[in-house]
Amino acid sequence: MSAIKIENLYYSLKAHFWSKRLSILKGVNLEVEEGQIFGFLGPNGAGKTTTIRVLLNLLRQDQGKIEIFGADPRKISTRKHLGFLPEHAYFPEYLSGYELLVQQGQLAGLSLKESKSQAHDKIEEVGLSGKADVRLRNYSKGMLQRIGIGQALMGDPRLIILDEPMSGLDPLGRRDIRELMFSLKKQGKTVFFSTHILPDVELICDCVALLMNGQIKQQGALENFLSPKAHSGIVVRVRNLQSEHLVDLEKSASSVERRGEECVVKVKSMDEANTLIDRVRGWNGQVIALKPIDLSLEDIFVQEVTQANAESKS
Amino acid sequence: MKSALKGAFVIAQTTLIEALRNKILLVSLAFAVLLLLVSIAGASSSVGEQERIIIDIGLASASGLGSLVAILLLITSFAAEIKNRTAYTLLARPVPRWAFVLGKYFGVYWAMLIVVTLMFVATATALNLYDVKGVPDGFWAALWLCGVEMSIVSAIAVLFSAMASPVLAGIYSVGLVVGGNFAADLLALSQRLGEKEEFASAFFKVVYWALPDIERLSLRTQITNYLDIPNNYIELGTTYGFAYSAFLLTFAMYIFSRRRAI
Repeated sequence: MSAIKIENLYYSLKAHFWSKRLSILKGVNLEVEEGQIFGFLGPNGAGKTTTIRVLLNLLRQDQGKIEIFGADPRKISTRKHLGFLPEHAYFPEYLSGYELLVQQGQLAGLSLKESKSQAHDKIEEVGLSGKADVRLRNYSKGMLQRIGIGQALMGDPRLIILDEPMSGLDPLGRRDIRELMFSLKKQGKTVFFSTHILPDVELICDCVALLMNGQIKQQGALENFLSPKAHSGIVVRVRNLQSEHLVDLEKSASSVERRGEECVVKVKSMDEANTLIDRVRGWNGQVIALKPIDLSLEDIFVQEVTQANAESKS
Repeated sequence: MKSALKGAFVIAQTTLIEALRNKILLVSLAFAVLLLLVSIAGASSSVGEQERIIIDIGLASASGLGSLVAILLLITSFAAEIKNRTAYTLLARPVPRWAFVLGKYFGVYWAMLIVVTLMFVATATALNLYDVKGVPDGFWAALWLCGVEMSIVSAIAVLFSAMASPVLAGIYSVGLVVGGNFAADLLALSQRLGEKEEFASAFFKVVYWALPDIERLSLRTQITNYLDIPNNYIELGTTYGFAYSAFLLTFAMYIFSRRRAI
C-alpha cells in the first residue's frame, strides 16, 4: 500500500484581496511506498512546504486527490497515523520538552499514563536526557529540532513527515537524525522529509522526488535517479610535461590545472582519455591516475534547477 | 466525538498552563494589587467613603483588567500561534479544528476565572482588614457575573483570533468589548429618540442587540450604593452571558473549521 499518494494536486493563493491569484502547486503527482525513506527535494519556493501543509490539511487544495494509507487526510482517523515536524521548530516556549511530548502523546490518542511513559523513551531516543524539564524557550536551535522530532514520534505514527529536519543541526546532530531515520525504517515506518542538504539524501533515501515551480520534475529510486547521468567526465593526473605540451592539451581537454609538478586534466569521455594518455606517453610524460567523476545528487539538482530557470526565462 | 473533546481538554490544559506562566497575567495581578493598595490609601482620607472606594476600584480592576488580560492571552495563545505556526503540530494531530478553538477558549477562560477570583478575594481581604462593614451583600454574586462577563470577552477574542491577524484581532476585540460596555447607553438613546426619529431609533436598537451588553453584568453600582439587586438579575444575566458566549464560540469554531489556509 502507498503511504502517500498525491494525484494532480493544485494549490493557489492570493497574497492580498486585490492581488492576482498565484499558482503554487501545478499538478503535483507523487507516490511514496510504505516503509521507505523518501526525500522531497526542490529549491526555495518550489512548493515543498505547501505540499506538506496540504497533506496535513493545514491548507485546502484547489483540485487534486490525496491519500494517506488509502484514506483522506481530512478525516481525523487518517491523521492518527501521522507525525509531523514543521520547517522551523515552533513550539510553545512556556512548556518544557517533557510537557510538550506528553501533550502531543495525548493528542495522538494515548492515555496520560502511556503518554508520560512514551515521552521518557522519546526524549532519550532524540538525545535530550537531562534536558527534559528545561523550558523550550531555553533550548538551542538544535535542541528544538531534536524535541521536534521527538514530538513527531509520539503515538508511534506509521508515517513521519519531516519538513527540513536537518536544518540547524551540527554534523553530529545530523548523523544522529540519519541514524534515527534508519531505525524508524527498520521498525517499518515511512519517513517523508524535505531537505536542502543533499549529501544526507544520498546517504539515507530509498526514493527521491524533485519539485520545481510547483511540479514534480523527477521522481524515483535514488539509484535510478543517479545512474543515467552517472559520470560527468574523467580526470587524468599526469606529470613531467613541458609548458608547450600543456598549452597543446588545453586546446582539446575540458580543463587543465597545474598543481606543482603534476597536472590535472579533465576530459569528457573514455575515448578522449585514451587519446590523452597516448599523447602524454609520446611526450615522455607519466600518467599517475585516472578517475571517473561521479555526478552527485547535488550536481543533478543544480543542473535541473539551472535548466528549469533557463526554460522559464525563455 | 469523545476523542475530539479529549483533544480540546488537552489543549485547554496547556493553554491554562501557558496563561498562568505568562508575564501578562502576573503583571496585571501585581497592578491590581497596587490599585487596591492605592484605594486603601485613598479610603483612609475619605471618611465615610472607605468601603465604597475599595469596592469600586476592586471590582472595576477585576472587570477592566480582566477583560484586557483575557484579550491579550487569547491573542498570544491563539492568533499569534497561528501566525507563528506553533499551532501546526497541534492541528496536524487527529484533532478537529473546532476542538482546537474550544480548547483555546476554555484554557483562557479558566485562567480568567482564577484571575478575577483572586482580585475579588484581594478586595474582600482589603475590606476585612480595613474593618468597615465587611463584605457587602451581593459581593460574591458580582464575582459570579464577572465570571460570566469573562466568558463573553473570551468568546469575542476567540472569534476574532479565528479569523484575523493578531493585531487586527486585538483591535476588533477591544473595540467590541468597549462598545459592549456602552451598549446600555445605546438602548437608552434609542428609547429617547422614540417615535420622533424612527429610523435612528431602530438603528440604535439593532446595534444594541448586536453588541454584548457587558455593563448589565456588573453589580458595581448596586453594591457600592447598597441598592437591592433586582429579582432574577443574576439568573437573567447568567443566561444572557452564556448564550451570547455560546453563539460567538460556535461561530468561531465554524469559521476556523472552514478556513482554507492556516
